[in-house]
Amino acid sequence: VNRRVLLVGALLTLPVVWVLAANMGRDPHRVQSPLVGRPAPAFALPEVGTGTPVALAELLGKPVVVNFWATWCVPCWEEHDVLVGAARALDGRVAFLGIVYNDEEEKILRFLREMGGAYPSLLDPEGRTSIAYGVYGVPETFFIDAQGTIVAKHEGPLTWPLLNAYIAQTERGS
Amino acid sequence: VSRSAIVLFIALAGAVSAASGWQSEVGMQAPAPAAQDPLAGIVPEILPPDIGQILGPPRGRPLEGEELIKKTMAVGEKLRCPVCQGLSIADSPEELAQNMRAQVRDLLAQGYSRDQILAYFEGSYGEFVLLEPKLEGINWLVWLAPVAALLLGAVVVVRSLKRMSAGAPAPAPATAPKAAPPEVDPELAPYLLEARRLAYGESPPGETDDA
Repeated sequence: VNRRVLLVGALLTLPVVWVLAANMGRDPHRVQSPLVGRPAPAFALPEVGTGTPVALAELLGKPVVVNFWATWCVPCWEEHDVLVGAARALDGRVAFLGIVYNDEEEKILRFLREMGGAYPSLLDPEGRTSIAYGVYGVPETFFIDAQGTIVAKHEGPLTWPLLNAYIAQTERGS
Repeated sequence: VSRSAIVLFIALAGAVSAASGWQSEVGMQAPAPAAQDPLAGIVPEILPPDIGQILGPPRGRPLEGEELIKKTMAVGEKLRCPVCQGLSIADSPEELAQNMRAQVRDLLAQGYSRDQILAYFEGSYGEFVLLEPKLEGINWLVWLAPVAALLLGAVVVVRSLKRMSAGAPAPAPATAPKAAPPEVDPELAPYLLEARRLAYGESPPGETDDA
């Protein structure tokens, strides 16, 4: 009898243990974005400071890098230099755009004055654009090809090698 | 089975959140995002992503007033707050959850149906954003496993109850061989007898003929 109980118990518990063990290292919040491979949601948002609307559609025709960020986000400071440097280096070849998530205009302006900028940062009233892009937390960066399809999404700060690889992928358009 | 545990947990959480529904409704009365609206009025070219393009025309009727508030709560409870731990957007004070709630309310006011709204959020955040897994594919397991486990448990309970109520004679054949007096190692028999004598007194009933 004991052996049978043991066997049945093992049959019931082992799959559960296996499922738990297999998913130990996985953060359930980090899900592959369903937007990859789909058309980037179109938007026209006011630029920080000037209020001039900037539309995604105006920039297409070349690859566009859309970076969701905020001044209160420390990893965003880390990647800021990388993004600004890349935007300068790739001027005319790849367009860069920041969308500020959940922040105040004065703080953003002060940040850009101190840290420098090379591309427009846009405000996102009510977070509608962030929601359309499925943004969880900043920084998140979307790589959109010249035709307006989302090729890749990166969560967390970007480094030079990462950014290079994503841009190469986006220019290939796959 | 672990997913079924999650669903059970979600069901419990849902019941709790339903019980505390009035609290969240009070929170709904003061939606902050409306204050940011003037921006859109000044610069008419500013357009957030067009939901009509993604969802097509509204498939419900526009809601307003009390009904809109209630429906916003009901739909919000079906959506997971992406930055929280197991909270719906109806129950979370997070800015993102507030924004999502405000959008749910706007979409309902425009006449979008519950399913259209859930589909919109699923389209941008993935199925993870739905607090109730959809009834398709492997998800059936999540819904059916708890029922199956309950039925299995019932069968086990009924069977063992039957066996017990069948009285003493019934279990006898099954257990008799094992329940028979254990064989005592002849070398240890004197010690056993001594122990019993100490425990029960000089002459324990029916024990003397053991060895």
